[in-house]
Amino acid sequence: MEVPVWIEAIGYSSDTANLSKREDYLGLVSSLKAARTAYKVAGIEPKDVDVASVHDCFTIAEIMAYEDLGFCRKGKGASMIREGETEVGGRIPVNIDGGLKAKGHPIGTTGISMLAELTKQLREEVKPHRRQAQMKNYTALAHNTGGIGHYSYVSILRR
Amino acid sequence: MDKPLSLKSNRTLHITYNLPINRTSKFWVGLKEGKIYVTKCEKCGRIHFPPVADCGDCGSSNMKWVELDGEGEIETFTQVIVKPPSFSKEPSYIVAIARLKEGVKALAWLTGVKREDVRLGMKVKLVAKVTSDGRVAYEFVPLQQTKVKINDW
Repeated sequence: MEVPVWIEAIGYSSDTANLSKREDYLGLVSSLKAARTAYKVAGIEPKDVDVASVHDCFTIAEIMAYEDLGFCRKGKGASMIREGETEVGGRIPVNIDGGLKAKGHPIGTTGISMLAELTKQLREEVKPHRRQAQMKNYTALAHNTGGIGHYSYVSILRR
Repeated sequence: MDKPLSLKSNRTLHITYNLPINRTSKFWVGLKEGKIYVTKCEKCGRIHFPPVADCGDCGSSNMKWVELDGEGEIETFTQVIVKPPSFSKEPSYIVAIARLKEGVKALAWLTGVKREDVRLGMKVKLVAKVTSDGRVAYEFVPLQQTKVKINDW
């Protein structure tokens, strides 16, 4: 029998599509709010996440996601990558499967691909083994954004 | 591995947008006259650019038309080099967001200045224009400053 993986929470939020109506150009309010809701419903904090898949439609989107999801303070996203914190063995492995950019960001299917990857991660069935993130809490996070970042969904998965 | 097969459609889809502008027609007519009109919500005071007939903040449809002076300061900008297909014939263009004197922000092309001369905080003016093919539009142009030289003494 397959090991079940559960959807603990899904947080979602939307913001204005009009860039000139946004207060902050350096992050996505929809991601921030979606994440807060997801963490609250799941009863966890960012540090409890073992592995994450974030919406890296563009490089900067991944960096902003680290900050919006609470993995680091605002402005520290790039340092996280430089210091290896988002690699397997790092503080919070992110996009171990290469993310959206590695698969050409097929719109819509990337969300499902994230859930498939995170399910494998939670079941500790990732091959090759070097791509398997260490499980402490058996908790994973999927982050998806649509449009021009004006709507976001954050899902917390648990085994 | 064999070359992947594909089937090409023999029908082409043309998409043209027809946007109803009855309730904001003053804006479109104004652009032709070289003026920029926006709507101000009488209930909550929010100014909307581009103008709207219904306030997204408070839900009121009680709007007043206000003419924008157009002066503002650049908050952020980018230069678009790889363009979407329908813009492919344009030279590389700068898109900027400026905060206008009236407190509302606007997003528009910034023309009349080279990319390397654009500065955050630089003063610009949002102006109405009519393109060579008769379409109304608006853009930011740099606001000329007269510089007063202070002599050393």
